[in-house]
Amino acid sequence: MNLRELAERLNCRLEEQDVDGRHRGDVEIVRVAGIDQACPGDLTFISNSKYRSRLSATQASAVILGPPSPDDPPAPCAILRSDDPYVAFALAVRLFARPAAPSRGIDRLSAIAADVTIGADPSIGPFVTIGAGASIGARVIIYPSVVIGPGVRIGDDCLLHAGVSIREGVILGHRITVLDGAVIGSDGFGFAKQPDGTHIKIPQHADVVIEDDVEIGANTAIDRPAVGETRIHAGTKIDNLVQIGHGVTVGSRALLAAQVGIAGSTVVEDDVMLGGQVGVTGHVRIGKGVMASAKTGITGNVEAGTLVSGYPSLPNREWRKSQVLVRHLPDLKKRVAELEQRIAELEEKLAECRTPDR
Amino acid sequence: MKLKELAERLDCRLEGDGDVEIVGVAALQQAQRGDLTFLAHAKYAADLARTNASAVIVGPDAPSTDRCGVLRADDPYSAFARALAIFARTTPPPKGIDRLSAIAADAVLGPDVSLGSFVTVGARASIGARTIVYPNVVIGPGAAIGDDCTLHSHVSIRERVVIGNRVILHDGVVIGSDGFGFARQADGTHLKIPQHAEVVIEDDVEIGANAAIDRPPVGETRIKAGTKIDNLVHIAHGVSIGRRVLLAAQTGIAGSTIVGDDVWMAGQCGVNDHVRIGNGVKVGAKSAVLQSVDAGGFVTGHPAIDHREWRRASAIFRRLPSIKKRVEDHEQRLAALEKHVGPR
Repeated sequence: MNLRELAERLNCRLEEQDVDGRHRGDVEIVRVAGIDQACPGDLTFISNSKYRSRLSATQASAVILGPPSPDDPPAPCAILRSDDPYVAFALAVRLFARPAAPSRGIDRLSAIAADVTIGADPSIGPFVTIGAGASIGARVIIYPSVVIGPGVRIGDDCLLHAGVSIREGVILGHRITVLDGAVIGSDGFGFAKQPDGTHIKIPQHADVVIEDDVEIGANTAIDRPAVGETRIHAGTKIDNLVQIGHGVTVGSRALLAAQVGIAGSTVVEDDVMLGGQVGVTGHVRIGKGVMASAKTGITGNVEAGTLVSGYPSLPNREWRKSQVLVRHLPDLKKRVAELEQRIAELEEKLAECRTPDR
Repeated sequence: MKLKELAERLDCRLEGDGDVEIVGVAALQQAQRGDLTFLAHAKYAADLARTNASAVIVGPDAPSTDRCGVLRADDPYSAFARALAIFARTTPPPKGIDRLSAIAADAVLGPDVSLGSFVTVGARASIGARTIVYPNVVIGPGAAIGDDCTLHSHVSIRERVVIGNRVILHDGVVIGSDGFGFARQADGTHLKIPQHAEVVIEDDVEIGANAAIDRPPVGETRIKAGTKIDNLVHIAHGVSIGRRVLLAAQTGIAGSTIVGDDVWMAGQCGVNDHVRIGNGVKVGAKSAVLQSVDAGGFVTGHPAIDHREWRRASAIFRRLPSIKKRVEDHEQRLAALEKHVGPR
């Protein structure tokens, strides 16, 4: 694809410059690549100013940049200007990506119950099991060894990677991607302690609903509750190895980074972003738009729009003010000891003053 | 079922109309007429006043309500668990041996075993009576699985692992994977230490989705009877976990550590290798337990310290800027005083 056409499709402005007598709009682009790895024929991008200094050395034929800035180093290649270079990059990758297309149809080494309904144009790999009464939408791609339990409902255009488990009765909306090994609808961790110290299982058979456009990472587990439901609202993206406890509600467009854990019955509202390894306790509410930095431990409700950090979590500004002092604690301790020493000396002197004629 | 009959079966005291018909169990907020519900936490008491449920299970001290019938239990949580077992809409597991499974000729299957599609059972493996194995489970050669177990999809039981009776393994659990053991060589590479020793899971253990339990090079990794392990937990090689232990999600326990009976660990805890966690110890969420903990202790934090100390220290953490300022103020005031009193 030549650069002029690419600019149009990415909604970017091509900076009009001629090089070596050749108009840049005619440059042929064959691939998208990172700034350091790019070769002639590649399109690259800078969305983080950290990488600006690498621009002058890139071999790429074109680069996607944000609005012009006086700090911009000279580019050795054509420039595509975008108001949001990261989005333009995402669109470019989608244009050039050639995902390995799975073969169409239903593999003969799959085990699909007789009463399963499957929409148009499916792709179902070998060793896939689909239980009784399940329904699968149109154009769904199911990679090998996926297990879909009885009564599961899956919408259109979903993509289930290898080894995914969708347990009985779970409901998935449209355009959902589930990465390899994820488990949706496993039993919540609910036990009632008996007088003899043993724990009886509280049966966990209630609903799990994953709404449209959700993505669920590899080996993530989403539990089902005893009563009520576990629900992930539309457009939320969940990274690898995340734990969603039973009865949790995660709002729309939330982002949960890898190894996040959310304990039972907690409500995470819309547009929340949780950094890697964040933990949230059970039965609390995380307000709309809350952000938590990596490894934060949230032990109570968090008001909408706040940025929290630390364990137990604090508003980020407060946490930073205290955290910066942690490395000065030995010095602070020394200063307190000096103060104590000086006060003792002062007290001694004052005592001498009070008894001059002893 | 009539409420009075249910009261009897759940061993609860009935308050209100015993002739109400109960058809299901539901959460306080979603319950409809005919549902039995449960007051899980005092903070939901306000929802009780608005519930449409026909009856509610409460503890001995909860206030009564005329909104619906009341089943009063000494242990409301257990009564709720039993009610769910009565009313739950369970999906019956598959019956029989699926023809799309691969079972070694010398594997031994007990009566009424169910094996789903694409299950592999290795040579000389044995599976006890009534055990249910869901699709795509792999059971390695020589593994021994007891009676009445449930193995959900994609479970991997590696060679020679021993599993007791009534064990529940959720989807994607791996038992008997190689421990993380390497010997560093002079050239900086790491030589694999073969990990072929035993793993034993005793009776009534439940293990959550995608948890991994490693095998050691020598000795054994053992999970004792009645222990419940949540999703995504990592148990390293040579660890011993006691009886009736509860480990919440994403906890990790490093090699050769011994966890006593009745220990509780909250989510995302990490425990160092070669330490001993005494009987009945509680560990707060996200703690890093670096050293042994005496029986009955309650520790939290990174590194984990006594829970009450940790709470006090955490409270002071947010006051550090004001403490620093107070020290500065005191230094100034003291300097002024010293000037006033004169040179030493």
